[in-house]
Amino acid sequence: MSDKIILYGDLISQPVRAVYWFLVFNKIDFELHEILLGKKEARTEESKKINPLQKMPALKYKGEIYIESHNILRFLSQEFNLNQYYGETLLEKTKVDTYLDWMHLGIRAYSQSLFAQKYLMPKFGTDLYNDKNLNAEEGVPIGLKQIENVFLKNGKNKYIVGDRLTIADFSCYSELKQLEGIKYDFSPYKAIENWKKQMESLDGYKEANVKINQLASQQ
Amino acid sequence: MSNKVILFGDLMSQPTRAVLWFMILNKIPYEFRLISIRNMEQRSKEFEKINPFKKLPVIQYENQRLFESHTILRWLSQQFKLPQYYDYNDLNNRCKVDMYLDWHHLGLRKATAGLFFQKFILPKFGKSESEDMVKDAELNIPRAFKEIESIFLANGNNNYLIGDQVTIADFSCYCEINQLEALNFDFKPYPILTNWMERMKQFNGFEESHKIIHKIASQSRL
Repeated sequence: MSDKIILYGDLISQPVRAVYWFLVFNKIDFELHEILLGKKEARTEESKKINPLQKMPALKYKGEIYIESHNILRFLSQEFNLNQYYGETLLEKTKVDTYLDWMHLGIRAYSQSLFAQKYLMPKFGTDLYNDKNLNAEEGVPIGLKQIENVFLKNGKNKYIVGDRLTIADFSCYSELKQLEGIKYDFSPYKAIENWKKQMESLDGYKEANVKINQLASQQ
Repeated sequence: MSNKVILFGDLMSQPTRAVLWFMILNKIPYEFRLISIRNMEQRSKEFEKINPFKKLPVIQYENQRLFESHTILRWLSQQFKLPQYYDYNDLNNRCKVDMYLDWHHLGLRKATAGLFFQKFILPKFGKSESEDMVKDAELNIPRAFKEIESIFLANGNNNYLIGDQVTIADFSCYCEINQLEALNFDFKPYPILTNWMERMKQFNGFEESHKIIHKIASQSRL
């Protein structure tokens, strides 16, 4: 049984980018098996055997399959003795968990929806992703303000939970990055802009974001 | 400084019910502080000082304040030595629980809480529902329930969401689904789900944490 990690996904997907980046950043040996979003490959019978929830990413390691990007990031931190990126103490873990749990309905529901409306649906059709009902235009700025004011404390925090880089930063950056692909204006959010620059200096940034950067330059 | 957990919330809120139920079941000493959704107290300046996200629940313990119900449930399990419900040190088991907890928000809650908000909360404030949002929720709830039945409950082979041991995932999931009873939702097409719900009702703290939602459900049946 191979000890190499197999990551299933497409780098156009935010959670895939977060996991991919974290793996590269920590020099963890892995192989990417592309499951192309535009071709709806996550919905094939073959993909369903890997992830019955028909989502990406999925990660295979030592015969086990792990699903949900935050779950995968927590797992990698513990399995590869990288506890500094999740937390050594209960309090440290709790701070990271607060962001990870908030993110789904605090920002992702809106940013994912906006990206889908502006890019995925026009390009691949509504049967791939049909989320026209969520008030994404209104929700994104609310989420961004909370990242700016509460998590980054208007620039007092270097990273999402304070002065240490964690899996929360990889997840958050990758989520916001897709908005660049649709030319979203981040200029009102100074702390976010500064934090993004810091994140972009980390190893693995370029490889993980190659597809989304390409998309942004085409817009 | 009190060793009691202070829970700020409203039993109309699904995540508040999940946290309260878990604390009662495990005999964790707590004090409940009502933050009334009906009076929109969670949006007040005063409450914003407690939780800048203006959401429920919040718990305070000694000098710590915690937000997000899943974070709170994980923390309670560790702080009060209840590893059977969630164990940071048992990586294999923990990943199974986390898989559900991470899926829950967009996989289930967005649709169920969305429908409850449209059909129950908005009319209370004299506002009309969004047809599009109701349609979207009604499309996604059956999908979510099928995924819970086939994947998490393994077509009835699992007694609980990750196997034969109840975990914090079950409390969160139950409270999310249970609110649909107040809308007279028809659970008949989901026998595996309803069997699991019956099992959950046997746990201490169920009645107390669900008294308000049950009151609403019984009124809506009239």
